[in-house]
Amino acid sequence: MSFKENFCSSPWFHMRINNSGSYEYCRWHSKIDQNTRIDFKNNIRNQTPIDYFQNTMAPLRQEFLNGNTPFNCSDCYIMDDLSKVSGRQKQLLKIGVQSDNFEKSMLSSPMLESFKQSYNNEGHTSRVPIDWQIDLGNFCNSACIFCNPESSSRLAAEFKQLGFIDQVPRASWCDDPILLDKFITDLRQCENIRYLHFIGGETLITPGFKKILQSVVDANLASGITVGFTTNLTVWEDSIVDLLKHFKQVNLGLSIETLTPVNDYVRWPSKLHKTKSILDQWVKLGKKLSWLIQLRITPTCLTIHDLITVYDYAWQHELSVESCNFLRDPEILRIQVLPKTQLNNVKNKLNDWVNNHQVKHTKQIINTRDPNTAFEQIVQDAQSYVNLIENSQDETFRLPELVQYLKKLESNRHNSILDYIPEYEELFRSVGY
Amino acid sequence: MKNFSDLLAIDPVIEISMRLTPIVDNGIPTAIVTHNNLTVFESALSEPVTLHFTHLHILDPLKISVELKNKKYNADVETAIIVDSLMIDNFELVPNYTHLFEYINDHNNTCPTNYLGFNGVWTLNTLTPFYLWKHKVLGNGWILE
Repeated sequence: MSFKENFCSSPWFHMRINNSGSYEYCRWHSKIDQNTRIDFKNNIRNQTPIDYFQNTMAPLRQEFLNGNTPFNCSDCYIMDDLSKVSGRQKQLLKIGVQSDNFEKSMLSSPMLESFKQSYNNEGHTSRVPIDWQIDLGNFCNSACIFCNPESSSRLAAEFKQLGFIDQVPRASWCDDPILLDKFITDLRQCENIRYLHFIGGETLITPGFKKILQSVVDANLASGITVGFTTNLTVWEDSIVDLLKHFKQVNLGLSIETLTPVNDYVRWPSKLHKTKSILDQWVKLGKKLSWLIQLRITPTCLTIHDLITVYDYAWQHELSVESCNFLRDPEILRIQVLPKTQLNNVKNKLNDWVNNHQVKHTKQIINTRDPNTAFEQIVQDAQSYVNLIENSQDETFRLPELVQYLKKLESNRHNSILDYIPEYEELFRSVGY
Repeated sequence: MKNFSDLLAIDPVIEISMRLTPIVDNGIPTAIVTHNNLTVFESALSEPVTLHFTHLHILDPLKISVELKNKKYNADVETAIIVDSLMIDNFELVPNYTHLFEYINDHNNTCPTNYLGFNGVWTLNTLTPFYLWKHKVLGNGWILE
């Protein structure tokens, strides 16, 4: 791979704090074993984020400058290969680098001097993180079947009850008022913060979310900051909406898988009529306040067949649709778990949808938040799943494990996948359902 | 290009290509093309012409102008210059982005156009390095500094 295909600018302006309070260098990096994500050394309890960013992340910056491909960045390279917009491409665009004119736009970037500084100082930088992902913990009222205990307290409790895990994850760093205050103090030391992206759990019911927003508003910093978050469309919180209005911009992510009943099954225990009502409410408010709205999807083998219902809604309301990446974990829910027959049906459905929604723009859209290219972006997302299906390797050997997983969950939830996807009955019965 | 060091070794040049077509029914127009205040073309324009020139300093703002001068106005027959195309590093500015050009002329006609029918100067001034300007024009969002 060439420098153009390897390089990522993210470590010069972005970092993340995960649920345990450990720092991480990127929101898109390949997920590693959850247990190893508790890093006590590089943790808010023992290190300032600025020290982590400027010094601990230096080897990563050096790797990129030397033209290497860091191991944990493989998700982005896979997405690049399949024409899905990667985090790498998004982060390059934030510093003015265009993939079709990489060299010249790199040399024109205001960040060039910072790259030179790191190049001459073994990766170190004097910059501070101005683009943050803040993981607020797993406090959540949903137990989506593709989620994990670290991101959903409800699923964690259920997993423990079913014997999938021995103990629920530790409390989040932001449940500790002392650590939360420390973080807010540290955050204020990062001058010119541009973007704060929050994930949960469910952000709207997590106390730390409101507290951080309030502190940023109180410090008169909100007017220069864009805040991004994703909500699961189960709750509405007026006091948060009021706080959000103080910010320069809001990037609103609305999680939904399909606009059919199977959404209730995968995003258990949501109810479609309520989900749809809250979705409409956010869309109406977001349009009124010129917020950037995206429908956030996590396509799995159980929802990919109805994904076009989300595209239809998005098309009707001129909203973009995006998934962070192709689902890797849990492996049993990957789209590739479906047999060829089902995958071909899905591919045909997606292809028909793409063919019936012609757009003029054929170049890849990296800035997926540009509302002016919402239609093109929806088609691009649909096409990326066609590409995935066409290039995927068979993983049907995971089907028996999937069925066992669903049966166990259903024993607790008193529902059945066959009530939601009756067309998969023969398939699921053949592997033990 | 394998690493950052290789990138720094590049001496970047921005390629500019412009095609002008005259309308000569009322006499041959005089066209002056300037690039960052240097005249790259000044001549009576009797035939279509394609100009190629380069912008050497990638961090300098880019200013290109086309001037029509000495036109004698006649209600029945026309003299003009049409800017058929303007490409900067394969980015097609004309006709797609004519609204970004400033047209100052003796008829105070400021409508976006690539048809220069008045004595005056038609100018693009990026004010920022070309690629940062292009980023903005394409609606690519913020640029972190």
